[in-house]
Amino acid sequence: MTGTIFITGGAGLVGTALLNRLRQSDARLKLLLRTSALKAPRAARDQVIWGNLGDPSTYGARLKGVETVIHLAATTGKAAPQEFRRINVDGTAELLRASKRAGVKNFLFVGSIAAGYTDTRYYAYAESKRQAEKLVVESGLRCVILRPTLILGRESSIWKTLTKIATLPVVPLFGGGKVLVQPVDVADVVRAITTILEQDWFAGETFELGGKDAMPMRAFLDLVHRSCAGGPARFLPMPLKPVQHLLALVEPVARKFLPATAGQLCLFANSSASGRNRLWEALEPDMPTTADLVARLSKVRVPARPQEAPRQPTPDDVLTREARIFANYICGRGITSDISDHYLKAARTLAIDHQPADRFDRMTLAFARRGVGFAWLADSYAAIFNRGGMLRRRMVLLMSILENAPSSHGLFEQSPSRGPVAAVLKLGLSGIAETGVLVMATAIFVPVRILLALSSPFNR
Amino acid sequence: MKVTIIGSGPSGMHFARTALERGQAVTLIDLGNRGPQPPLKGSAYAALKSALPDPVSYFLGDDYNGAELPAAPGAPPSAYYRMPPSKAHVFARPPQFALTEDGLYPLISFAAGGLAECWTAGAYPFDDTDLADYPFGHTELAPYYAEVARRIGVAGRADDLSGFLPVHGHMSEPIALNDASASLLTKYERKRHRLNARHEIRLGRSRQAALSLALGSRDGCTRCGRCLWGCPNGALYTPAQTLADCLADPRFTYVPGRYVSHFDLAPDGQIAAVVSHPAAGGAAERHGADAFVLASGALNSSAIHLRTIWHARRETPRLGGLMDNRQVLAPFYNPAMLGRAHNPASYQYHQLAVGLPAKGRGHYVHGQITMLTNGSVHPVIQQLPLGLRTSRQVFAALRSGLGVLNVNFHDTRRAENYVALDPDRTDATGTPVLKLRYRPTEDEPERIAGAMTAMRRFFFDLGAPLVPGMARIRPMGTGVHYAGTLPMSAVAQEHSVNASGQSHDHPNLWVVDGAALPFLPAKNLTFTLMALATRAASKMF
Ligand SMILES: Cc1cc2nc3c(=O)[nH]c(=O)nc-3n(C[C@H](O)[C@H](O)[C@H](O)COP(=O)(O)OP(=O)(O)OC[C@H]3O[C@@H](n4cnc5c(N)ncnc54)[C@H](O)[C@@H]3O)c2cc1C
Ligand SMILES: NC(=O)c1ccc[n+]([C@@H]2O[C@H](COP(=O)([O-])OP(=O)(O)OC[C@H]3O[C@@H](n4cnc5c(N)ncnc54)[C@H](OP(=O)(O)O)[C@@H]3O)[C@@H](O)[C@H]2O)c1
Ligand code: SF4
Repeated sequence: MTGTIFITGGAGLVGTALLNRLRQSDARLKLLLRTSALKAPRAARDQVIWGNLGDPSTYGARLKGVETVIHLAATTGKAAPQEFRRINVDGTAELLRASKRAGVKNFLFVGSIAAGYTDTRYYAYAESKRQAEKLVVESGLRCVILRPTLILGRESSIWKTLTKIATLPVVPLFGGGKVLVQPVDVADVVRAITTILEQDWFAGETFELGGKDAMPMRAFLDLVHRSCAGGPARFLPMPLKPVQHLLALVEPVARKFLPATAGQLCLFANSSASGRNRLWEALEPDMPTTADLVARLSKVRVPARPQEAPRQPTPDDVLTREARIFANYICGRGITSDISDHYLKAARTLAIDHQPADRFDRMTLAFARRGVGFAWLADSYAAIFNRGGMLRRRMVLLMSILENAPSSHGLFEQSPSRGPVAAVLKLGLSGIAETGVLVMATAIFVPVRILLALSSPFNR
Repeated sequence: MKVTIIGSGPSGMHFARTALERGQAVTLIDLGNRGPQPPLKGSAYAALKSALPDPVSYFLGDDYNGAELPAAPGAPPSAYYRMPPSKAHVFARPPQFALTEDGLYPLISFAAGGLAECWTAGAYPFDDTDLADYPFGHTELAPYYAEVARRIGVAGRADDLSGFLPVHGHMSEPIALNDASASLLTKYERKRHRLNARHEIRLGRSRQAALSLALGSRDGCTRCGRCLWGCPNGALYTPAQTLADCLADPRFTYVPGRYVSHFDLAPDGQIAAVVSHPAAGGAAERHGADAFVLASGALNSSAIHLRTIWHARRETPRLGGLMDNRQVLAPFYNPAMLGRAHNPASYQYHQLAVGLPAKGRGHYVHGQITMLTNGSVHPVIQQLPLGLRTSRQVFAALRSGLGVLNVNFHDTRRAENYVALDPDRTDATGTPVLKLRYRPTEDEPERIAGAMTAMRRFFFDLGAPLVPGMARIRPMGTGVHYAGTLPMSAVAQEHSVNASGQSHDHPNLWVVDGAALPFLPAKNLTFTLMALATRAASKMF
């Protein structure tokens, strides 16, 4: 690996791991980074181009002399459909045009297994990746497409979300969980890229890349649950399509707060197992099994030091974290330390700082603490079916503090002058979002309540 | 003549002031709890939350009692009024005091200034219909209303409500309306002919003991919105202001820090001395005088009267006729305000009122309209059946047009509603404690339903409909207009007073608070208490 390599998305999950590897080679690296990655570690030798994929004027001239482009950057996760299109499709088109103009020889595009999904309703990401692949193949450059499946790594947000979901007291399982998954280690994605570079496999091929073994989603979630929480997972079967429709309905206003989008749930509707190909066959012997990979990652999550016992979060830690999440849910912003201090003191003074005795109360509280979207789901349910429960009491207490604290009181005083039409529209949108969340919350919590009621009391 | 008054609430203070004005020397014995001065005079309500060193403690209290949490399942309902920490002293009870409640849950004050240190300043004169069971009519009271209005500043206007609310002397210009009230009043004026033809209910400006312009050392209202926490400008009248005026008079002796237990009786039934203990506990002390004035609030005056009988004869009679106004709270929404910004520059309490006239044997029904201008919003937001995030947004969007109608109903004296001493419970001195018992009349649900239907229709036609299903009948005691236990009576029977408040039991005792009322109209009574106390003192001296 010599010559100059231009890399987009170098600060992401794959990018970080790839750079660590390439910096040990003789290749000269040019990195297109957004200023949001300002704090990412960089080597002195790297040439950094501060720019944006959406704006070729920020990087076009710097493609001169580049031999290979590795295009990793993409909008991933929860974004609006037009954002996927703008960055993943239009951004890729611009990059291809600029590459051709600059005389770039090779183009490595990291696509996604989702580009091959058959059911991609609501999944703007998959659609954007599919279109981008097409642009790459038709560009006339020497190119190759790598389609990873689920990429697991210690920093992978997918892994974080997975462990959150898989360690819930009851794990929601959409559509039966029969579809196959074949997660791949981020290290193997890096190996795949370096193999392509070394072997000069730029012959317009598409390589799907999964890990060593494929398994049904249900078995995979069970595996994650066993290694993170111990014991088998308890599943809550949920219908996939209705939940997707609902999510799609509320997404335009509530995307930021939802635990997952309708599109992301396509993972439960499509097989994500990779086909066999010469690249996979070359790498497979050294790949970890999925069970080993999960075991390794779950250990990384809680580093067990031989001497010291791992620090258990104190009750104060739990309340402080909870205050941060609840505040973010209620007013969409973080909190200052005076607010969390008051929250701790108030919860103690009013004697609502203890673990609730009621099992359902305990469960909803734990659920809500997982994040803003979870808090919304739990609160939306509690607002109707469990008003006096611990969750509501704590949230209202926090709200009473937020209402009076210097940094947040303004939010409770403003009521904008926007005219009657806009006000009605805004109310309507809030209403739709809330209804969607409530329906989803009911679908989650009613069965849980029944399950809890049916299970024997010694389970407490 | 040496006069000793017990209690520094509105009744006691206006008796004292009148007596002083007529050249009498006055001693006033009081428990007299005091609270903090309002901080940062120039700051408006919201500005306090940035300017105070610890606004959370100021607004919620060190015990966080200002936070209104949803009741846990099975828990008793929380206090029906959540008073701000800055007013905690108004309701603090001394260790000697205990109470057995049955059907009525009162607020009781041992503060310098009494309950009215935390009142909402509604000052409504009684008319001849209200006074039908009194030994005099409105004409007799009118000069005393005018005199009190001159002293404290009572604002109002002659308008459609004047038919129920007599216009009295020294009525001053009211504080400018907040946006939301102004919008409602404009609607009423625009539709007036149609509304008046279809409904008996009338709407108009409230009557408020609050100043729009400076009076003496008190400033005019700056619309800072801090009324509930304590007016920093003295614009909102409280009896502590009159107490301060009296303290400047050398003939006035104030004896705070004493809990009055009872009177010592002379053999002829006259009162010989008032017996009190230091608030913190300690030996009894006796104050003699020529005349004694009970102004401790209807319940405490009754208690002192009952303890006097118990100490003299070990008897525990019942004082029948306990009254309070039933209240119904009904939120409404004025859609004309939709999309308009909420303007916090506002006087906080009700600026508009409605009246439903007496018909046949039915009595006048009194309504007060308060807009949600300033004040804690978490108690409101949590009421919505939505997640708190959405509730907050919905509330913000609707706030400028949200209001609450507070409907008050009259009450009559009935023997089954009484105060007495509880033989089963004694206080630290071994005296039985006060016991209250109250049951509403059987026809109450029907009366409330009738009036609320009329209100619902009126507000609908006005264009500010009541929110369906949200009207709440409040528990007895929330009226905080306790009365009727030592009533004015033309016949000299026991446990009653004459038309000037002079006791039929003890000729040198005057009862000048709510205990002496023979009937309780729906209108807030305190203006009348002050007028009656002024009248009693004027007749005496
Ligand atoms: C939240 C609220 C809002 C209100 N709003 C209105 C309104 O808008 N309009 C209206 O007309 N009324 C209103 N009121 C009612 C009004 O405050 C009372 O009617 C009024 O204060 C009664 O005056 P009072 O002098 O008779 O008795 P109190 O105010 O009860 O005063 C009693 C006095 O006696 C003293 N005392 C009592 N017992 C003893 C004892 N044993 N020893 C020594 N001292 C004793 C106390 O220290 C106190 O100074 C409101 C009350 C509250 C709480
Ligand atoms: N993770 C998976 O499971 C998975 C599976 C299949 C395929 N893939 C694909 O693999 C590639 C890398 O994935 P990843 O997990 O490493 O993603 P990631 O962690 O989300 O990183 C994406 C990177 O792209 C950059 N980026 C986004 N928009 C940009 C723009 N407008 N201009 C410049 N840079 C921009 C981001 O920059 P900032 O750091 O500034 O945000 C980030 O560094 C992506 O193409 C993805 O679609 C991932
Ligand atoms: S009456 Fe109320 S609004 Fe007016 S100055 Fe006093 S506290 Fe402020």
